[in-house]
Amino acid sequence: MSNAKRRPSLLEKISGPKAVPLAALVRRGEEAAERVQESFGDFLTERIRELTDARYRLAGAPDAAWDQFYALVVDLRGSAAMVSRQGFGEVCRSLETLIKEHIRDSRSAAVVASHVDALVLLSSGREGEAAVQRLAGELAQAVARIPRKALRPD
Amino acid sequence: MGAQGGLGACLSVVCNRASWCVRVSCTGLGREMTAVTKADFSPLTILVIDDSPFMQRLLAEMLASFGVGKVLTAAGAEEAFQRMEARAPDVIFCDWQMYPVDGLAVLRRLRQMTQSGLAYIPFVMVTGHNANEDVTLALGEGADSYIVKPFSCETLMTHLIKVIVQDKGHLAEQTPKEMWAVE
Repeated sequence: MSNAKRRPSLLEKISGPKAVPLAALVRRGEEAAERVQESFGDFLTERIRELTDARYRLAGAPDAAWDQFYALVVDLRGSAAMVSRQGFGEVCRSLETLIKEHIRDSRSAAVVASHVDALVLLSSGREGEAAVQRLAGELAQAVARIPRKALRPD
Repeated sequence: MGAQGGLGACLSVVCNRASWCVRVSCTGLGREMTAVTKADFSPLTILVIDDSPFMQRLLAEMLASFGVGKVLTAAGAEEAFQRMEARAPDVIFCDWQMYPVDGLAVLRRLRQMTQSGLAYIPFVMVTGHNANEDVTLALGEGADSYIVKPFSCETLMTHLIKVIVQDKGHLAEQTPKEMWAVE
């Protein structure tokens, strides 16, 4: 039996003499994350600009444009959650539901635009939790008025 | 070192290289539970694939602060495969919701690359969706783990250790006969 070809497993690779307690590494990670989170504002400004630019082009646009817009929204929700900006979560989820589950026409494009306006408002950081909830509720009502896509039998 | 555990399990503690890394194996249960308490990630190369500059930077910085020797980044599928061909990473963290090629498509393509050995690289799917069907789909396509945003540094570490412990790439690259020899 020869192990000549055997490469070290990843577990063996990380088991060197310079190994550090994982708790210490996690602390270092948290410090690094805090530094990166300070740059969230720049990212948010850029992402909101992209959504604002794209919102009025959705009416009559091919599915690829809606899918690209959807990917931006999902990313914004996930990134905002990473920095505890939970207010974006509700508005983004409502927007994701609209894009994924409802028909894509001029009416839904208008509701998308309303969501983007809400995101612009939230990006100021001045809206309280109650205002966010009210806004999310109103947007959910607007989404509910858009017909759902027909289910495909697949 | 071995000790009798409950339910007929054989508990064995393996002191790997003078206790730098302690593994606890429950072989009697048909699975291995491993507790890693220390690590030196400097020999590792990790590839982060994310089209979001913020998330890409956040993940890369967290991994670098863990001491990972080389953190590669890619903003999309094509760039990712170019990087992999130039230097095969040890672990991949990939965002699911990317456009136009999503993380699931990256995973499927990767798992077909058996000739190059890239197919066996541990793959962690990172996503904003936590529906059961999404998790099942990703794991069914060959993801080794699944992280839902938002996640903490501790969660990231847990998943990194999990895929490292599960790594069977060194076995999968060999013939079945050789795999027995190593086991």
